[in-house]
Amino acid sequence: MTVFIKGKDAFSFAFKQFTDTVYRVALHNTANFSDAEDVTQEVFVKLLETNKAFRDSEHLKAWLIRVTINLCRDKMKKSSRETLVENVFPNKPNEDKSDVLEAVKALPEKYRNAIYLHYYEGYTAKEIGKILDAKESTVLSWLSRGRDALRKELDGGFDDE
Amino acid sequence: MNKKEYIKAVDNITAPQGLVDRIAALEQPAKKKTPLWKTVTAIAACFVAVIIAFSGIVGGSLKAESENMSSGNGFSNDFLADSYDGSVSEMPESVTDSSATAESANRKIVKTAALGIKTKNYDTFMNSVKQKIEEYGGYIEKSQEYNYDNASNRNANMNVKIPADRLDAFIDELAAIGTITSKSVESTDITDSYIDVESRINALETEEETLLGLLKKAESLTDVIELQERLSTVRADLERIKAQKQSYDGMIAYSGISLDINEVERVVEGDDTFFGEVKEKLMNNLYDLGDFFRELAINSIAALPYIPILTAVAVVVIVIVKKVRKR
Repeated sequence: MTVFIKGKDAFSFAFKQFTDTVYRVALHNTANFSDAEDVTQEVFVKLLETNKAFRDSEHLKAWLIRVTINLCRDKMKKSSRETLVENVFPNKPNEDKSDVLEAVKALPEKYRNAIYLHYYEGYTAKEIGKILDAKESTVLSWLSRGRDALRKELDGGFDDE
Repeated sequence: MNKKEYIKAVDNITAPQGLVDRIAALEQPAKKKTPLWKTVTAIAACFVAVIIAFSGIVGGSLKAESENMSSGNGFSNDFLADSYDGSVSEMPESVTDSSATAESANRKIVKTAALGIKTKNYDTFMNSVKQKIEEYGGYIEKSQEYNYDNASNRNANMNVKIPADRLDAFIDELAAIGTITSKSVESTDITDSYIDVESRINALETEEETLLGLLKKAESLTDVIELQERLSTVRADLERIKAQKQSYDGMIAYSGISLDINEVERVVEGDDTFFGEVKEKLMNNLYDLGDFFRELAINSIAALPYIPILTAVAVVVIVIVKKVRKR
C-alpha cells in the first residue's frame, strides 16, 4: 500500500479536521483549560516534527489521540505536586452538562478515555484497544466499570439507550 | 439519558480561536524570520552601496575597467544564448514541455491566500466585499468584527471561500476598492494524497463488486453471512474514503482567503523612492500638525464652560489688587 499522507499534508489535514478532537481529549485529561491548550499545541508541534506516514485519516486520528493522552500524562505528572483542582468548566450555563463532564473527568484515566472514545468518538472496544494499547476484553471491562462508576455518580445512570 | 447530555457537552467543547491561530502559525515558522533576514540584508546592501560609491569617487579608472569587463560578459552571454536556441530547435523539447503543462493541469493544488487591507470607508468597503464575494460565487466561512474604541479604528477578520479559478481576479477586485497592505498566496500540492484516495476507492469498489458476485453464487448460509459482513465493512470504508475525497475536492475547488481588514483615517500608499519617502514623512508630519490644531480647537471649545468661572475669579482678583494699591 502506498503512503497516504505525511508531513505538511498531514498537518494541514489534521488542523482542519482534528483540532477540536485533540482539544477535547486534552481537556478530558488535564486539570484546566490552559493546560489543555498547551497540550493541543504540543501535539501539533509533534506532528510537524514526525516523519511518520499515515495510511488514512483514521490512522492519523488514532495517532493524534494517543500522543495527546501521553502528553497529558506527562503534563499531569509535572504539575502533580501543585495539584489544585480547578473547575474545568466554570462558564457552562447548563449545570447538568457540566455535571456529566465532571463525572466522566473524575473517572480513572483508562475508564475516562475509554468512555470518551466509545461514546463520543464512536470507536469499538477493539479499536480503542489499538489506540490505548490494551486487549479488547480489557477495554470492555473498563467501559463497564466506567459506566458503573457513573451510575453511582449520576441520576439516571449512563446507559446506551 | 446522561449519555446524550455527555455528547452534547463534549460537542460544545471547541478549540478557542487563540489556540487555533497559534497552531496555524506553527505551520510557517520560516515566515516570522523574514523580517530579521530582510533587515540584515538591507543593512548589508546599504553597507555595500556606501563602499561602492566611495570606491567610485576614489578611483575613476577602476570604474572604467569594470565597465569593460561587463561589456565582455555581455558578448559571451549573447553567444551562449544563440547556441542554446540552435539546440532547442533540434531537440524535441517542445513535446516534453507540453506534456509537462498537461500534467500540471491535472495536479491537485490547494490554494490559500491571506490579505491585509486598509480602508477609509469601512462600512462601504465591508458592503462591497460582501457583494463581491457573492458575485464571485464564494461564501463567508467565518467573520469577526471588532471595535476597539469609538474612533474610526474598526477591524474585521474574515475567512472567505472563493472558487479557486477566480481567486486572482477576486484579489484584484479587492485591491481596486481598498488598499492591500500585505498579501500572501500559497499553493499546496496534494496530488499524491489525492491519487492515493482515488486508487483506494477503485480498489474498494472492485472488492465490492467481487463480493456481490460471490454473494450471488453463495449457497450456504454461513457463506452468505460472512460475505455480507465483509461487504458492510468494505462499504463503510468506501463511504469514509469518499467523504475524504469530497473534502479534498472542496479544498481544491474553493480557495480559502483570510482577510484582515483595518479601518484607518487615511491610507498611506507605499512609495519606495527617496522623494516618495520624503513626501510620505512630510505628509505624516503635516497630518500630525493638522491633528494638533484640530485637537487644540476641540479642547478650546470644550473648555468654554469654565470661562465664566475663570472670568469671575479674575475680576475678583483685579478688584482686590486695585483696592490694595489705593491704600
